Amino acid sequence: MTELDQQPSPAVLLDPAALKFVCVGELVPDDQEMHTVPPGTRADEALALMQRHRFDRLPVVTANGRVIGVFTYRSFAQNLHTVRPQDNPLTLPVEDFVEDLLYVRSSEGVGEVLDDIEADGAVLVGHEDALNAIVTASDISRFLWSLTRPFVLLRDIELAIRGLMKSCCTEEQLTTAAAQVSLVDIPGRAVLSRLEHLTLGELLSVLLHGPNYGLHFRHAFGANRTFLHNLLEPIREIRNKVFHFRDEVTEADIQQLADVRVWLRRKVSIRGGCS
Amino acid sequence: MNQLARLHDRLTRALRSPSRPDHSRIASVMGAGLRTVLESFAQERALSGHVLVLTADRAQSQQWAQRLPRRGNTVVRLLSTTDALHILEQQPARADQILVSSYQTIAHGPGARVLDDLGFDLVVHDQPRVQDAGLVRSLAGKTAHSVVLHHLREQPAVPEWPLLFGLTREDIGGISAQLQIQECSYTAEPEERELRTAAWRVLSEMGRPTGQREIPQLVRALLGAISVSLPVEPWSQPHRIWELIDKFESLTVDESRLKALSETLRKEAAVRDRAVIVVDKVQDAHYIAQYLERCGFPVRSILSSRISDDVRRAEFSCLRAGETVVATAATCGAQDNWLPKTTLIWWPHQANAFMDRILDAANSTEGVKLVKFHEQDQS
Repeated sequence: MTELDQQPSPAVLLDPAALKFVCVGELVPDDQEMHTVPPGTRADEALALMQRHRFDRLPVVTANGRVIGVFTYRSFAQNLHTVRPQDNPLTLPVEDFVEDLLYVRSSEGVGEVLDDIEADGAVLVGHEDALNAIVTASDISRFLWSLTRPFVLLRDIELAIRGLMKSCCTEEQLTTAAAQVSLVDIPGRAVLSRLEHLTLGELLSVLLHGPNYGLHFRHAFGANRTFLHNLLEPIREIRNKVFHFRDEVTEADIQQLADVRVWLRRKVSIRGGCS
Repeated sequence: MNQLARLHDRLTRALRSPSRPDHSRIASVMGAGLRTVLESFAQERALSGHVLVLTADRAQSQQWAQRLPRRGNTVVRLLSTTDALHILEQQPARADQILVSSYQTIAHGPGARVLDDLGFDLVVHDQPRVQDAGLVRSLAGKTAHSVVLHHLREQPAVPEWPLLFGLTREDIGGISAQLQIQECSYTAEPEERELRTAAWRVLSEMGRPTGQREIPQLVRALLGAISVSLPVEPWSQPHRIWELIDKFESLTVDESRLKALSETLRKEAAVRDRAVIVVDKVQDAHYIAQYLERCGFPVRSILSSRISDDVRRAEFSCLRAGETVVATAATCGAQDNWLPKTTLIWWPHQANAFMDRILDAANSTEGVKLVKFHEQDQS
């Protein structure tokens, strides 16, 4: 018995809105609160606001919602030479120090805005009469990490399982173990004599197979096969989700991968490997 | 017209009444099917103005968004920042659209900005929590009519709003006769209880208290405590946690709740046709299915929200006598009806947000039985 998957169904009309290409909108943090200042704000007040909230930039917006530019540490420094010697730049209005950032639509591709973010540190989402969000370089780092984290965790898990299994028996014994679950001599496929040839699902089938487990793998993975099964079986599903882009990978999935990784890391350490 | 339909009709009349308060509450026990009435009412109001439906979490919003279009409405989902930015860049919302969102999404950021320039003819608040009260009240300022749906026994988020409609267990006495509820008591093994108490204590000391009782979930909570490094963590904690995990790992007895489950299935098999075991998470489904297979109860399939609506309906409607499926609560919550003589076995220790929907559907089918487990306290 396995988890029921989507069944093949008749062709459906393509809904472009349902196809989620990675776009700028996904880079915007869910909790982004946009702080803006009016053009007449004194530079020292804007700087204090930026320091207090740890912002690097503040959009400067008129009373009727029009963006006249963005006040940043860089724009302040770059415009200092325009200040007359008798004036204190900190008391001047921010509108004297703004810079222009690129406006993009939330549906624009991430690759198309990377150069601008690298050059200016940020882009604005919307247009000058309706600013909806800001995307910064740190938003990109956060987004890319959230995208790649499941792959990194799955890599660690798969390599740890493989390493521990290898530490339990010889190559011949592994081939025999694979044969127990009919993974060898599949027509059209080379004999699976190396664990590197197995998918994670196949690896788990070899590992959790009753006689295999009792004979070899319990030495590295512990005596309780049911416990191991409960721990590892969900990983198979999460892996399919991640690699086949089937569903949204949830926070709970990520946490589960992190939990299994920490458990395997300890087993590797007990077994004498480096942790 | 049966009693349930009469109650629904009463609520519809109360909602349509010109003398109804602008902002009011509906308090009900579980399983009365009042959301069906609210769905129709939201559809009606959407013909002439903006309608917003808000829920406590995203999964509940998804359920509304799945059900409303069946009544011919255009539903706009506001469930993420991407959705919000997309809406902000579009033309102004059309009056016949129903916006579905969660409190979390509209609390801040682009989600909040979507609502900035919108006024509403109707806002339906589906079980807002007490911490959502601020949002409920502030939205009322730009809404002609608001309705808050909440459980009769729970503290309402906005207690000062007048009660428009209340439904007690007695009111639906005749209806609940359709749904037979059975509580199944069991006692946990001392070894299991001791380990569980120790796990609760350690997790609590680490500032990660949990009410989880199932062994796999407790092990996950312990591993979670280790995989997240805490700066205030005493040096000895990881050692204590590993010691506990090792003990769980070497536990030789099966979890008592699992034994109660297989015992229930054994008894039910003689008198019932089919069983649906309702779980919180897919991981729980695998845990249960694996155990049941060891005990000689083959599980037909595991159903999660990954499957399409068509597959879900087909799978539930073709369940044969003696067959068992394990399904997540979110999957069951999307089901409108059950086959007669179905036993729904509720696995989680507590009711969750989907129980309401499941009971609504169970109440509308004759001969459905709900089994809940209750662990007897030994302390």
